[in-house]
Amino acid sequence: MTAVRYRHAGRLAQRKIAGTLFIVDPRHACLHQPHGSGETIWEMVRSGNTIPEMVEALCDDYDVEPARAEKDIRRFLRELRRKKLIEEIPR
Amino acid sequence: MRTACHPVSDRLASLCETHLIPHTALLELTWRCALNCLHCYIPAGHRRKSLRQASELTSAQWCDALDQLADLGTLYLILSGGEIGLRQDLTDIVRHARERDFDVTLYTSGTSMDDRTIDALGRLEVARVEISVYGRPKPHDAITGNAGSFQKSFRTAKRFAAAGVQVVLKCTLMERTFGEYPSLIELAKEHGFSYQLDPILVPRDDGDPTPLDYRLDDDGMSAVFKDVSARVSTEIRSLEELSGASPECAAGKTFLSIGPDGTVYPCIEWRTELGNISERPLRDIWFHSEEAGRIHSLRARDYVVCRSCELLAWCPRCTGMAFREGDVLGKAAESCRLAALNRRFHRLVTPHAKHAVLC
Repeated sequence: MTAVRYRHAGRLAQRKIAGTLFIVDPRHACLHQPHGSGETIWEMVRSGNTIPEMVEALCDDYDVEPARAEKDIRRFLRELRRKKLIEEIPR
Repeated sequence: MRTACHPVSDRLASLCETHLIPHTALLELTWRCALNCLHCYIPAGHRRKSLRQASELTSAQWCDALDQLADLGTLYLILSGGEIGLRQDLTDIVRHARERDFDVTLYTSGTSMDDRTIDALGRLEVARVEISVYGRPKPHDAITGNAGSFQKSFRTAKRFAAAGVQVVLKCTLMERTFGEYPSLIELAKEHGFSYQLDPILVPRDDGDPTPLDYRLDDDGMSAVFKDVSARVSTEIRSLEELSGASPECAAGKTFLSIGPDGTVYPCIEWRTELGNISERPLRDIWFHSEEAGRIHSLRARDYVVCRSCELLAWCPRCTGMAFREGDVLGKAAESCRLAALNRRFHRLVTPHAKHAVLC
């Protein structure tokens, strides 16, 4: 597993409103709304967690196998990167 | 993950309506301004005050207000004036807002910001800046009453764009700008800016109706509506949505405004004082003040005249305009006029299309 870390793109705005997280991307006038584990991963990106750390936390929170958790995390991170909502922190 | 390419999604609007959360707040950092725009809704007496006379909140008080707004759930922040560039602490306030994850829009004339401030605001990644420009240099300067103001405003626009900030040139539609807006559109296109034409004029805060003298008449407004290149503040709604139109307003429910001295209002048009954040916590004002409670409890059925109007589906009804005409639950003449034009041209012009759920 790699020790790569990500961070939220600097231009974003976000707020948890009545228990729901909303992320604004002003560049595209888009509002994103991650659900369930997506919101957990988003928060872990903010905290600077690595993928192994995310896997461990997700397994604890959602009672899921590590392999499945890692697959889901990587897929979600790929989606976030494709939408340019996160960026890799240079090592 | 769900994505909606609209500034305020239905889900966000619905949650905020249910829980009475102001998703958008407009902060008037100052009423001071060096310009003397013919149609300005702020009385000249307020615009001309010195910093000492103006009783404005301090940087620390504004930052505390931002903390309280974030705690309430506000996501979209508009910083307006007066002229916000006259606040020496503008960058500090914006920095705090960005640290608290707000989407920040700046309203400015662009005449009082130096390059250092603009570059700093660019680095803070404000979402957009809306700059008032009324056409070509000479007519623009005649409206602002300030020779050379066009050059300053336009230079500021270019500097913001170079700093990576989305620039919107904003022009109030009135008799004086009717012949100017096509050149404004060309200017915006040439430089890659957005533009917005705003058809709304309101009396000044002290009741002075002078700004209404500059209104564009029906023939002029019709011509603008027919001009496909004119991006009048327009909201596209489906027929189904139009049939469910309501005279209710977001002001005081999912939108609030705070004046330079900390007074909380439903919006900048609707100047009913809800309380002052220098005396009472915002949450307490919002959820427990008598006036806020009265506004929160308003329902469509309370707008007796408007709810049964045949123009309702086309009406950009603004409660603030009705307030200025003397009855928040009554008609607002300018809304009625625009509603008739909207129906005629099958468009829906709103005062705040960018935040389309607001009105």
